[in-house]
Amino acid sequence: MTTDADIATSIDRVGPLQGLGGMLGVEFRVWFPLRSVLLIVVGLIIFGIMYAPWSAAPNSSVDPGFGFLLLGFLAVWSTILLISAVSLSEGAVLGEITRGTAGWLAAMPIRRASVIVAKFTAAAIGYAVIIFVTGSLVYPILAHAVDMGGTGFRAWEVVQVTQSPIGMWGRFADLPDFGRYLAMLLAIWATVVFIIAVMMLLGTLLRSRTAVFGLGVVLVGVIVGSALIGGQSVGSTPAGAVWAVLQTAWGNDVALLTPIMSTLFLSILVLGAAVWSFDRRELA
Amino acid sequence: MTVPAIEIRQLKKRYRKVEALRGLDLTVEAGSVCGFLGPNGAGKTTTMKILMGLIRPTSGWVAVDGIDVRESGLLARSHIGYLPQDPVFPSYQTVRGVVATAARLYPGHLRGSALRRRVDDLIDRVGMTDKAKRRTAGLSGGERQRLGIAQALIGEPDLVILDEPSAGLDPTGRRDMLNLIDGLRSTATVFYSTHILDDVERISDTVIMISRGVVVAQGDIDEILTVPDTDYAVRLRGDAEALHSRLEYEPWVKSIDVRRHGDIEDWIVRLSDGSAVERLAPALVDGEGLDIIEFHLSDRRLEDAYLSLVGVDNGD
Repeated sequence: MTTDADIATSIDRVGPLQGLGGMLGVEFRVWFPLRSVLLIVVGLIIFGIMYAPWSAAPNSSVDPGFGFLLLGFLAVWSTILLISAVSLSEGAVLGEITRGTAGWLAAMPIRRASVIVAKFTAAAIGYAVIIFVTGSLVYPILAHAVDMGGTGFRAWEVVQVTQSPIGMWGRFADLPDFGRYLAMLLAIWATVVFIIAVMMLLGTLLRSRTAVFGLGVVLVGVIVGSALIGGQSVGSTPAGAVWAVLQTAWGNDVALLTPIMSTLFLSILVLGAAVWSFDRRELA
Repeated sequence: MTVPAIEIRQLKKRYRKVEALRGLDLTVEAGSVCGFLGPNGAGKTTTMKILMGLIRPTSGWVAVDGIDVRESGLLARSHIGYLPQDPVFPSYQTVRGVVATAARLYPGHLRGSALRRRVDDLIDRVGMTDKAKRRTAGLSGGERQRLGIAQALIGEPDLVILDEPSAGLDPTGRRDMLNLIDGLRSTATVFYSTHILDDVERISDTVIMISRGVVVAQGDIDEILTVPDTDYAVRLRGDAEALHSRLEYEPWVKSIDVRRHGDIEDWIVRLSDGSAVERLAPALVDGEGLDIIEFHLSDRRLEDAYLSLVGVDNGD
């Protein structure tokens, strides 16, 4: 028979995250395999859609480079990942509260922090798998295309189709080495993780899922918008991480590590606030 | 001396302008089955949610098995199995999944085959073996209640708190639920709220009645149902108006409640003291044109006690 002393020892051993193991089990069953596989497939489809006309274009004397393809893919893929993070996280906490399942969990002998940390961890690991699996599958295709001597992309066609002055920009980057490419993916993941943390916090503070979703979309807009128009001024923020990814894809040599670390640090701060807020929320 | 299963002192809870609990004091003895009664809005669910740490009291002291719920909520909750009023479980999980999940959330929980056996035993105990693989989204209200009981018992709790466990159940489901609760008395203290007074009379050892956020009565059910020797039931036929008027003004009569069914009237006569029956009996016999069909000490049912203590219009 389990005594109070056994229980107290067990609680002391696990400390402030009693119940995290059980909660992680629950959350991983939510995340894997359905969401991860779905988002990986979506990512590969997007890449395929962008790559197909590119690879089918006739050869040209214009040096194509791969910056534009990489830039386009990462921009679209990152935005979809950020929006999906908003969509999948908006109900993670508030949905549990409004459905009543948060009350069920909180009535168990677990710390409430475990609920938030488990949801965050499962989502963060889920997105890590999505981003790194998709990214790793895309990279060798790009590398193979480089080995084959380019794909015959013609800048003027882009000018014709998009009416943009891109042709005048003149230079397209080569594919970055795999290490730097992984750092780009890490920066995207850090930004997604930041969004998830913010959605967790909003879920503990607000009472309307629509409001949580709306604020999440606005946040994504602010991050992407700031990255596109803010330049270096966005600095060590999540927008700075996105900006660094875009610059790297474009072939510019910018620091990736600093915005990654600062974005992850900010995410942990926001997550701490979410834990604090959820701990005080009444689950009526 | 045995530590009470639940001890609450001067518990207050205020929601903005509404004072849900106004200095609640109650004790539930270990090993008892305690019915928690009160009208809607009296504060029953609020009290239970404070015990579970789901909401925070404005002030007061709450202990489970002697453990301060506010100081050591996690340890206290490891002693409790809880069935909420309207149990909701993750819709993507199966019945077995919900019970197994609940099991894994307890400190030092069972693992592997021991865990599976325990889960299957409990599912069998609540009669859901044939539905073990069904997702919770497809369960009826009664099935959710049964599942709620199973997950509440998974940690082998000393105290089981059930918030209206038989609400919304059909007669068979209600009977099964009462049998389940009755079967818990050998292993745990049961503290449950309900509006069904017959259920309380049938399975409870003790009763706590609450009204407007304070306890109005608590004790053994036999004590609460004990009839004072001053209350007499009279059934008579004929024109009783003159007798009623006369008795009403007698100093030894405190009150007379009257119910009419055609030409028959049922009275509950409350006397100032037990000896006054020696005056009441002749007065009834002397009543002109009246047949006295019955005359005896009043049978008191829980409903009578409830209505006299709580009133009929006490809900929010």
